[in-house]
Amino acid sequence: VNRALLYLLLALWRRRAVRFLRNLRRPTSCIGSVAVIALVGVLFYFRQHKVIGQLVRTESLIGAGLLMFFASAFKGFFQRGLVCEPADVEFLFTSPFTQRQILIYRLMPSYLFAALQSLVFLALFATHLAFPLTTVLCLALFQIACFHLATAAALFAGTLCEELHLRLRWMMLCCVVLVIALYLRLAWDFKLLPAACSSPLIHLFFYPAMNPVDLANSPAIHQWALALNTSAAPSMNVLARTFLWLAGFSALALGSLFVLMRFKVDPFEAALTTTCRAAERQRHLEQGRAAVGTHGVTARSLPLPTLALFRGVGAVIWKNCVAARRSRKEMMLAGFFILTYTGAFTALLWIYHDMQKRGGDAPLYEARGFTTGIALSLGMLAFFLQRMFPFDFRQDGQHLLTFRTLPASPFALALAEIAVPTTLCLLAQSIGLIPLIILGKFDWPTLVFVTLGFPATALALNSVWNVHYLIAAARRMSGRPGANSAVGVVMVVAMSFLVLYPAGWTTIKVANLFVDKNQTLAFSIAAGVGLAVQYGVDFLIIAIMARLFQTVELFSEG
Amino acid sequence: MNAKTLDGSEASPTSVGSKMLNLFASPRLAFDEMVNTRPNAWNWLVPTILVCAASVLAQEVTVTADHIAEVIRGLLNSGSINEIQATALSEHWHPISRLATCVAVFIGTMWSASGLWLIGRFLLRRGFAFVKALEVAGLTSTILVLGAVMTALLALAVGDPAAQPGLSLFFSKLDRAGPLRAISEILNLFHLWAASVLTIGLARLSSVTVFEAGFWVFGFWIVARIALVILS
Repeated sequence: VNRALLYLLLALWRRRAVRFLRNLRRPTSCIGSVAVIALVGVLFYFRQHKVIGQLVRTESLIGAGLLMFFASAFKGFFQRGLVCEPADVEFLFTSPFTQRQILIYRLMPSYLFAALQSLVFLALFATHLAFPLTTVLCLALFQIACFHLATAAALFAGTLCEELHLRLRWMMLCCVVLVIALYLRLAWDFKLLPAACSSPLIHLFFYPAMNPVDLANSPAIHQWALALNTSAAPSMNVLARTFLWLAGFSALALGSLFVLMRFKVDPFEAALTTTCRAAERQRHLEQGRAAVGTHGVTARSLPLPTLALFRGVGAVIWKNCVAARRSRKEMMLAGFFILTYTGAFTALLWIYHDMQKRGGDAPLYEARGFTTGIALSLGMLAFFLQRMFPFDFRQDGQHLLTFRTLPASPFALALAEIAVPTTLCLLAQSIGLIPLIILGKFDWPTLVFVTLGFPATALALNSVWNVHYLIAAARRMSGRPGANSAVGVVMVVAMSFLVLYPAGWTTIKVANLFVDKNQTLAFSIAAGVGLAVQYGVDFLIIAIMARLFQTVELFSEG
Repeated sequence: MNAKTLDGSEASPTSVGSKMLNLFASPRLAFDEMVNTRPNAWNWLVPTILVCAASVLAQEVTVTADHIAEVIRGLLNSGSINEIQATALSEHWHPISRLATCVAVFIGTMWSASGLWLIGRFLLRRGFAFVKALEVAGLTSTILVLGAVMTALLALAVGDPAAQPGLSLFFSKLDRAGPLRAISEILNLFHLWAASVLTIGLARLSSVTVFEAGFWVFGFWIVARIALVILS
């Protein structure tokens, strides 16, 4: 390689190393780096283990080699030309360097990567290899060959027209599938094909590259013919019935199609409106907003109540109350779900109560355990209701910038935003809680714990969903992908559980400290501490939400 | 629309017999003419019927009573059939085989035409009429007529009903159920010839290079069949 290019390469590596170290200040980069180092560390710690030895079996190495080979070929082929830095195109391509020098310059980082990876491989697997040094050198050279292949494939694919490139991709894909199937069969004795593929009838698929005489004289055909001959008489009845059923339903399908085709209505005008509505709804859902309602219906304006609660930042609470009132369909759906959920548990309680009346009282600890279980199930209701009551930031996408100009602190505004869904969750839980108090067996500390625990849980869950919405909105507005992805939703659900973890962990630890002395006292103290921790966590999440609302780059969502 | 000759004048389409003979001498010319003319059902129907007739004839010559008895004895010994069924089988062996041969040839022609059409439509991204693929597949099966006659003659000459003009001729001592024997049977001279002619037909139909068409035709009709033997 040219000396000037070598100098440039070293300078670029140095700059990248510095940038990498600086990036470690970012949590995601830091966590990613630590995860990789931890993984290598764990593998190094257990390097003597036989499971690690299995990774360098001949079959595994061949599989990995095939994977590298095909992945390189595919990567290069899909790339269609070398990917360079914009500065390279501007300065290097116009400089007096030969094509070979530039190619080597582009390949140098790959060579370094191959060398480093081989060293890691040596450190991890040396104890399981008969000739470690030779193997590692071969691995490094094989990797280098794969990089060459990828480059060659990229250069070759760059010269092809789009259509030919597409067709060649299919060819490569078929080759890979075939090689993988052969590898699995020969190396691991893994059969991908069902036993039916061994049948001589399969050869019919390869006509005219087959002999029809061989097929016609295979025992399977004759046995099948024999079976058909012997079972033909009794099966005629079944065949006739099957035919009649099929004929009947075919007539139904054809008849309905005939009627449909005779319709004299113009389908396009109605389809236009429906399609627009569906597209609009889809757009709103993608933006995390509520689905659009009926067009053309203007809701009646409502005056601000005189109640002090709705003054100042409380006006946001009133606005969300109005939004909830106008979302009749969603509220009815939620109401139906709540009644079904709480009704089921009330029925359980009633059955338990009835059984107790007829068969005598159950032991107190058992009755209290049953009641506590029902209470916890009611607590779970808040998880299910999160998507049903989005009367908070989630429906204020287009007003977020306006809200920033309001003369209120971000914390107060964030609290006001989540007040309505939290209250609605609590109301829903109270529907189940009232029969629980009447029919269940509670001691006072448990009752207090439940009464104070439900708001803490509902507040935490609503805050988590709103934090997610604000982050997703910011990502979406900046054009970054994955704003409303399934992974994002799973992460939020996981976070919803994790925010309750500190309180739960503290409760158990504190209860264990006092459990030997007095159980009721231990429970009361633990529950109190747990509640305090949960409210502390809630405070933190709301503060994070307020900070996000204040600082995240948001643009008006139309 | 008539076929165009080299000097640009319209030429009258040749007969099916001429096309079948042209296929042996110059398949490219035969397919060129077929691609540029209107679909004609006789182009695939006549070769297919001829394959049926030649295969039935080859079966009468090569499949002897001893061979049938041996197969039935094997089924009896394995417990797959009982004595009554064995008698019925030996009585109806030939009629069933004849019927199965004819059905297999017709289904095979349709299937290979579908295969060509699907390859052209989805993998090569070139649309052409199914009936043209059917004509190519049918005309290509003309090679099987010659193959059936040659195989029958070879079986009579060698004295082995399983003898075939391919690599298996050199591995006649190998176990018939073994994978090596099965692969050697696939590498039959007439099968390779048929695949080559199908390649040319597909290349003419879809206007792609012979290499590209050959990749798919040989890949499916030969390589996939060998892979099936190894994988199953």
